Formats: sequence, structure tokens, C-alpha cells
Amino acid sequence: MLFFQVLVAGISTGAVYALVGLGYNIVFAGTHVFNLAQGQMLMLAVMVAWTLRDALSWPTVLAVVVAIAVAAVANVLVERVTVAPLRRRIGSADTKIDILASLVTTLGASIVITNLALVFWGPGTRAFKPYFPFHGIDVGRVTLTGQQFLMVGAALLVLLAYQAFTRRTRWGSALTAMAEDPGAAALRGVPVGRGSMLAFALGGIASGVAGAAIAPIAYASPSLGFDFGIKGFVAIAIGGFGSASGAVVGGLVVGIGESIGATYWNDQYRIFVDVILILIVLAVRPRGLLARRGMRLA
Amino acid sequence: MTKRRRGHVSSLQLASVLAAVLIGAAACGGAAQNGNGNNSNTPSSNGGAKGPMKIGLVGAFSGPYAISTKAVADTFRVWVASVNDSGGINGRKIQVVKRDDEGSPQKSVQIVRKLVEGGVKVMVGPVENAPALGSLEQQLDFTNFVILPDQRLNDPSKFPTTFNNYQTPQAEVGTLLNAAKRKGKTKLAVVAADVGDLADQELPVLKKQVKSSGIHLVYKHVYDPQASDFSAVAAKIKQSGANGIALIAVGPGIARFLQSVSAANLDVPIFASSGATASDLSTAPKAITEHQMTSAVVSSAILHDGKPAKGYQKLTKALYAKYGKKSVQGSGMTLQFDSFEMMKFAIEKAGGPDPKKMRKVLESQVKHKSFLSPVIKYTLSPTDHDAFPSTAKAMTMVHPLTSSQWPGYYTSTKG
Repeated sequence: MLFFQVLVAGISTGAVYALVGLGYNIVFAGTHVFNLAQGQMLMLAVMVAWTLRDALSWPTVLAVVVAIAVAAVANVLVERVTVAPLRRRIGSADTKIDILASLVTTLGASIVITNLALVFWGPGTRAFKPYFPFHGIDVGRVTLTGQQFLMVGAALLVLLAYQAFTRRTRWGSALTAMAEDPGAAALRGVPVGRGSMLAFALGGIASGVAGAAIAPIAYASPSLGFDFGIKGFVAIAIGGFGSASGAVVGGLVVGIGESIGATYWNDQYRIFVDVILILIVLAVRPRGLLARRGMRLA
Repeated sequence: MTKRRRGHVSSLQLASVLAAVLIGAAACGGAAQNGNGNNSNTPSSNGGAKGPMKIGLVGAFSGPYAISTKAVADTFRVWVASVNDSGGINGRKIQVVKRDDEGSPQKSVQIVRKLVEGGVKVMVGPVENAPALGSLEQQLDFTNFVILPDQRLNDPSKFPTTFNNYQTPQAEVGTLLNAAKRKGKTKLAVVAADVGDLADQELPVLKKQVKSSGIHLVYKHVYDPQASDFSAVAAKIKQSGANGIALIAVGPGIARFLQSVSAANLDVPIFASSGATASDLSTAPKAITEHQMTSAVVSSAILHDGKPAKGYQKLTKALYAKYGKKSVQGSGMTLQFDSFEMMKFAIEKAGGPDPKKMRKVLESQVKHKSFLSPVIKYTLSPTDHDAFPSTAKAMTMVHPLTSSQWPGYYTSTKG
């Protein structure tokens, strides 16, 4: 029974990693850019939600929605300031991004965002009031809490919504086309610039939802973004770059791996669990568990 | 003769402008880092025999560790104001020389070196980075007063000039175990946070003390501060058959752990170290913090008839008035005041801020000596520079939520 409790803990934490990873992959799939500021979007959502809900006593739902919206807008700003100027003209369309340059500029954005957050909120850690009562539900000998349901539910909801968006909407098809071949998509009339903004907005929403979901059990602090940014990146390294379902699988693998390591080995070696998982995946399937040739969204 | 082109600036003019800029920058630089209203930018000397006495205050006034430095700085400023109002030390008023090391050990070393070379030989801190000064203490003549859990600081062979006042692991662990024994809880699960040296210092002491206490440790878990889900830990504690939990932790992880304890209906007493009183427990279940959990605090932080011990009342009121009641964190305020009083005692007996004489005074005359309250008796020696007593009598168990009327003080419990 303890093992099932360990699995539950790992799945719920992994769901949040999956959301951050999904944010990375949505942006990468649409733009071929690794947005190293993705973790900071989670942090912004947590800090804004705390400010509105706990400091200013806004209703929870409104505070969370605004926090997610702020993360989306912030990510679009990152795109406008650090990615869009890097596009080179190919023919008549702005399509090509220098990947290395975008790594540097988005890393710079993450540092700027973190430092702005430090200036605005200060370095202290804030406690985020729980969404749910403390009592759990016992299913056999496994205790499930509302918080765990929220984290897993949020990840599933975002994944399903995203898959529906890409398969059933015009803009979703446009992003899929950009993922396959941005140049060809541009030649077919897909507005790549606006598509890029949309990809960043959706990536911001994914990370924002992750932040809102984990806020009660994470620490509301400007340094939060770096930690979860790393976890999200590990998730997509394991699950596969550019794959939405790969991000989810990767996140769950990381979450469950950490939970098993913490319980049966040593919680102090948490980072080593991540490293071991990456090494295994690199040895067995270097592109990631669910990565495919050519960029696909799901 | 060389013709000068219109608009061309000669080398001499350029050099003059550059020199003027540099001189101006040097004059304006090191913008006011004043304590107690004094401009203490250039600690060029310690005021002579009759001028103000400069005491350094070194810590992270910026960056992520600023909160803990602020707590020390606030109590120090209030104490300095009180001492100066009473005429100072040996007739000399204290002038605080504040320096920001930004949390960097390297900066701490540079700052302390500069201060000492500039004539400031006595200091409070570095608030976080005292362990970085080891080799500097072997080279330079100064003395510093800290309250830090790092036990290495207490060894004069490694840190000859540091005098520490932090509660010893022996006192802390002994208090927890005594409380567990009194409640008949002899099967303890230990949950510790991997924060700083906390687990490394207190767990070995715990293992040693349980041998003679009749208590068995049935489960041990050291958690990463980033851990967010403790449901598996709670399940393991249940599985182990523990009838009590020893919680050696500090920081936001405590609230998250207590949430999991509540969710798992783990209804066993929790005996926490003093770190719990310095942690934000506002999101922890009240049923646990008010009934199920007790925390060790120094005995000087206990309210008597609803008030602090007499020696702390004036200083505490001044602290609240100047910095607000919310500025107080944890139960370390009384230890801070006692540490400053110990420093004052040493300066008085040494006849001035003379590090060598102060060290002799501290090592020979601080023997079971109390300062602002008779509750705690401090002892220093040439082989141990932690003044806090090693017995469990110097600490007691409380419910960890501070008094709303007297933040930083607690109501004792029978337990």
C-alpha cells in the first residue's frame, strides 16, 4: 500500500512538471525555440495569484484566471522582445530563428523576469493558502487529497484542451503546419509571426496553470521559476522535444521517479534521480520516449 | 606650435576631467550606510578614547537572506539606542558601521578585513557568513558576535574570535526527547529538513541521546526543501508504528508536511525543534499547531503572567514601536539581546573595544552568567565559544504560534 501512496505523490507532482514541459513543447513545436523563461511563467502565476488572492483578498477563481492571463501575456512579451527580432527573412517570410541566439535571449529574459520579481515582491517566501480542506479521502490505505486531484486534473485538462485546439481549430492547424515546416507554412499564408505569439501565449497558459495548481504546496518566491523550469526541461528531455504527450509522460516519469527515490532511497539525492533518468533515456532512446521525426504537436 | 582643431579636447583637459570625475565618485561613493543616524561611511578609526565607539554590523541587507539580517539589525539598533540613551559603554556612545555582504561569503571576508583594517575591531555578524571568516580570524585582531547553528563556530582553534549564542543541539534535542518521554511516546519517527547543517548537526546528537533515553527511533526521513508532497512520508510514519514525531526542520516545508499529516489523519504528537517557531505556519492546520504540535524554544522567550521577563520588556517594546510587531520572527530575539549584552560586558571589563582583552574577559568571566534574565545562564571557555548552556533546562516546549500581543514570545505548555 505504501507503494501506491508513493505513486500517487509522484503522479501529482509529475503532473505539474508535465505542464511546464508542455509549455516548453508547445513553444518549441510552434517556433523551434526553447523558451528558457518558461519556468518564470509558472513563478509569475504563483506570485500574481498570491498577491491577488492572499494579499488583496480577491475571489480565488478570479485571482487564478488573472494570474494565468498574466503568465500568457508575459510569455508573449518574451516572444516579442527576445525572439521575434531574431527572425531572418527567407524569401518574403520571416521564418527562421537562430536557435542558439534564442537560447541566450530567452535565458536573459528569465533572468530579467526573476530580478523584476525580486524587486517587486522581495526575496522572501510566502505561504499560499490552501484551496481545499486538509482532510484527505482514504481509498483503501491510500490517502488522496483535493490538492492532488487538482494537480492531475489540471494537467489532463490542459492536455486535452490543447489537443482539441490543434486538431479542431484553424489556428491549431496553422501551428501544426508551422511545427512541420515553418517556411512552407509561411508560403501557404500562415502568419508565422502571429502564430509564434500564439504558441508563446499557449505555453504561458500551460505554465500559468501549473503555477496556479501547485501554488498551495510550493513556496511563493521569485526563485521558484528556476526550480520548476529545470524540472520541466528534464520532463521534455525524457518525454521528447516537441511532443505534447511526451511532455506529460516525461513529467510523470520524473515525478514518480523522484517520489520513489525520496521514499526508498534518499530525498537528499533528488537531483540525482533526474540525472539518472535522463541518462537512461539518452542511452535507450536519445530523442525522448515519444519524440517522432519531424515536429508533431501530439 | 601645434594647431588645435575645433572641438578637439587636449589630453591634459581629458585627464583633468577624468581626475575630477574620479575624485567626485570617491567622495560620493559608499553612500550613507548609517546606523543610529550616524554617517559611518569611513571607519578610519575607532573614535579615540573619548569619541564614539564603532561597532560593525555585517550581513546580507540585500538578496534572498535579507530577512534574517533585518531581524538581527533591528534588534541591534534598538539595543544600541537603549545603550546610548543610558550613556553608552564606558561613557562612549556606540556608532554602528553597517555593511552589506549581499549574502556572499567572499564579500563578507573582504568587508570584515576592510573594517578591521579601518579600526573597527568589534562586530555583530556576519549574520549568515561567519563560517567564511575562519582563516581571517587567524590573521587579524577582531572579535565578532553571532547567533548561528553552525557548531564549527564554537571551536576556538578554528574560529578564535567568534562568540556564538545559538542554542546547542544538545539542549534542543534533549528538550524534544524529554517532552516525548513525559508523554510516554517512546517510538519516534524523525523527520528532518536538509537545510544548511540542521540535519547534519542535530541528527547525530539525537541518535546519541536516544540510547540513554529509552526511546526508539522507528523511522527517519530527511527531506529536500523543495519537496512538495509528503503523503508518502505520512504513510510511512503510519506504517512504522511511531507514536510520536520528532520534527527537526525550518522553512516552508514544515507547513506542507503538517498538511500531509492532517490529510493522513496521523494523530500523534509532534515534537518540533525551534526552527518551527521561525517558519511560516499560517497555512498549516490549526488543529495541529494549536494542539498536536509543540516546539522547543529558549526559556527566555517564555511569557510570565502574560509578559516577557523584566529585562527584555523595555527593549521589546522599543522594537515593536520602531519596526512593528510583524517584523519579529521566531524566538531568537531574547538571545540576540543577551548576545549584545555579553558584548557590552566584555567591552566594559576590557576597558574598551580591545579584542584580545575582550576574549580573555569572555573566556574567564562568563561562567553561568545571566544578562537580561536570570532564566538562562551562559558559559564560555577557552575551548568552547558557544555561550548557550548544553542542558535541556535552558529550553522548553511551547505550541509554536507566537503570542499576538508579544510576538517573539510564547506561552509554555505542560509537555
